[in-house]
Amino acid sequence: MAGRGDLESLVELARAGSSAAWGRVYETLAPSVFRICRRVLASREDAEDATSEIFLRARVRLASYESSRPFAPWLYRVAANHCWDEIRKRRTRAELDDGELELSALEDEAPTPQEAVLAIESRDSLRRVLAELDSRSRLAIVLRYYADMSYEDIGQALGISSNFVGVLLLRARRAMRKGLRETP
Amino acid sequence: MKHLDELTLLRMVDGELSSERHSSTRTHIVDCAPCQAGYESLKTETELLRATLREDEEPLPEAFRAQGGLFWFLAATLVLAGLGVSQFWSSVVDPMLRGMDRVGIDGQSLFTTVVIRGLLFRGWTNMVSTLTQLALWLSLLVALGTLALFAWRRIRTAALAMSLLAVLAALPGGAEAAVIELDRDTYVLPAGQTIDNDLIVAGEIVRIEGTVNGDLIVAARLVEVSGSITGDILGFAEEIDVTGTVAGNVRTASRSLDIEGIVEGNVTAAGEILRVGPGAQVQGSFTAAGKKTILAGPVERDLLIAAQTHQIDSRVGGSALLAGEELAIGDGAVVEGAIQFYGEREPEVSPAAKLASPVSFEPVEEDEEGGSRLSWLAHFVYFWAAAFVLGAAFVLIGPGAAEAITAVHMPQHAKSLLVGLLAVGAVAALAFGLMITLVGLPLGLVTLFFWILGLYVAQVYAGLYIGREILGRPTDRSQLLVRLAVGLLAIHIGKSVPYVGHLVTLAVALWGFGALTLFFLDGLTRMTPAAPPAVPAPEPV
Repeated sequence: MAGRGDLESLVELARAGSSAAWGRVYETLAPSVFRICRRVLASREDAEDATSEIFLRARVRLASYESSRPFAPWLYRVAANHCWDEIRKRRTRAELDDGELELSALEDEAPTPQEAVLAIESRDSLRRVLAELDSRSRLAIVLRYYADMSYEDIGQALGISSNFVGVLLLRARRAMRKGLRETP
Repeated sequence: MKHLDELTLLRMVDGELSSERHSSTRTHIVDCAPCQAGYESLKTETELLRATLREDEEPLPEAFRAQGGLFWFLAATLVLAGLGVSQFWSSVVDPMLRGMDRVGIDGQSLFTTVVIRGLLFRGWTNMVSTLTQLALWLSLLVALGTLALFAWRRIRTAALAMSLLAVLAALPGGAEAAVIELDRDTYVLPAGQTIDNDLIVAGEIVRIEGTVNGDLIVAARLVEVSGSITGDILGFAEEIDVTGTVAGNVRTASRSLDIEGIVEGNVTAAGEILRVGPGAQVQGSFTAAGKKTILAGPVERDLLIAAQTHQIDSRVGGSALLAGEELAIGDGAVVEGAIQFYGEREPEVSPAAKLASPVSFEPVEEDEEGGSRLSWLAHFVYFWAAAFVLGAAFVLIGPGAAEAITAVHMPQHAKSLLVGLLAVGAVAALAFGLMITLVGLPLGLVTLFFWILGLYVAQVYAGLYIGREILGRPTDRSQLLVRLAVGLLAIHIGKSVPYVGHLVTLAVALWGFGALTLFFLDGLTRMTPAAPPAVPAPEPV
């Protein structure tokens, strides 16, 4: 598949109007975008639809992409925005309350985690506890550890400060550890 | 000492601390065992998270995966195409190549000679008239492209289009377009009879004693034209004798060609023995590739001949560019222009010959038995350099096109190859169809010329792509040229491998031609303003 510089030149060509170039961008990045969507949205169908919509959105907004910077992170930001929109549309009342309230810092300022963090044998159980997270935390985890986005970019997509992104990530990790301890 | 909180450690792991805080935290971690343990376990946890998220627990949707579904279709097409190509090769190309080989020419050298030398030395005036026909050619390409675009979207349409093309190729025009006589042992157009149309004829022996008011296209063992042709002759035969009158051009590929009549146009011939007899009169130019050429009758314009032996004993109205081993200029020779001879031996010039200027002789090293290494190398470098010069021109004139073709279309190997197969076949069929039907010979020949040019240029883009694969994406013009040179070198090395070389040539031509076609198709979609920005349709299965 296309390497780092190739991807940007493909995007350049796509911006000049080449559908085939955009097709190749799609081929290259659709799998990762789909994986992001699949991890944070409810169903496979939702993820497929979201992937298509993200590429539509991205193509329309291509003019705002700065060609001197790498393209994949830019596309992931579009994906993050879209997924967050989707999640908010679908979130239940309870989840909404839960999400907006806890903007406070971490309740537990205890020193370093002495408990063995997520020391588990199978990744299946990790996937299970990941799925049990609230949508926003899950999205933050996926954007940080799958899409390699910065706290700043994640914060922008989720409409929170970059400081709070760290809190969100840590809280998510603690919830996962707890989930694993309770039902290993 | 106060321990670091977990959030700080996490930000450290995630690389999200400011540089001062980063260094102070690092210093602390080094000194503080509990914090170091916490840091390490967070790092391990992060690795675990990353690995888990990268893992696919379920397959990707069909649409996002590489085009695996095409495999069987591609394989089937390639097998069918292979059968067709081998049939075509063994019945047409191979005998022709063997014939040409016998006279010391291979297809590539012929083409390079015609294109490079032709363009550089004399072709410019002809090119102007060619350009006017270019517009027509482009519209054809557009039509073909649209067809192929649909074909790509729907395999069924492709099948339909292919069968349509096959039918078109099998039925070259109705009775009104040309008179067609096939599979006759002996065909004779008797004296006094006239055909007011193009005549296409194939048989063992073909004799034209009457008049053809149009072109004569003939494939036979023996062809004798003693009557009158108002158009061109396009002939493929073992022996062709022209004693009558041809108002147009004579273009032949035959073991022998003997002209004793009047040709008002140009003669272009490939064969073993090519002769313009004492009774002949060629009013145009004489371009030939053969083993032996004998000019005993006048040629009013230029000569461009590659042959082992040349014999000139008549009037030549233009200049002569000759390549081969020996040149003999006899008593009766009257040459108005300059004579340039690239040969192995000094030309023998009769003192009685009337030459406007002495023969400019440039010795060429003799080809030793078994082939000298040096000459092979020179040959290799020459073709490589020729391809590079042509390629550099294309790439520098259209850097955007080069970028699009090599970055977008060439990497889609299977698609390019398949489209190449379709387009190469379709354009060839189109050219052939044009030659013998609707619009007539000139446009068909122009189409054929561009077809051959396309096949030749295909290697330029293939070379550029391979160069990019080896050296990475070019960032400036000189890097671009370096990649072109390296890629073309790789292709030429591949081509010179015995046996496999043909396959390399074929693959490069199809692949490059396909990418070129896709590029033009992509250009078409670009020109349609109303097209909504669309995610490409999933590849057909």
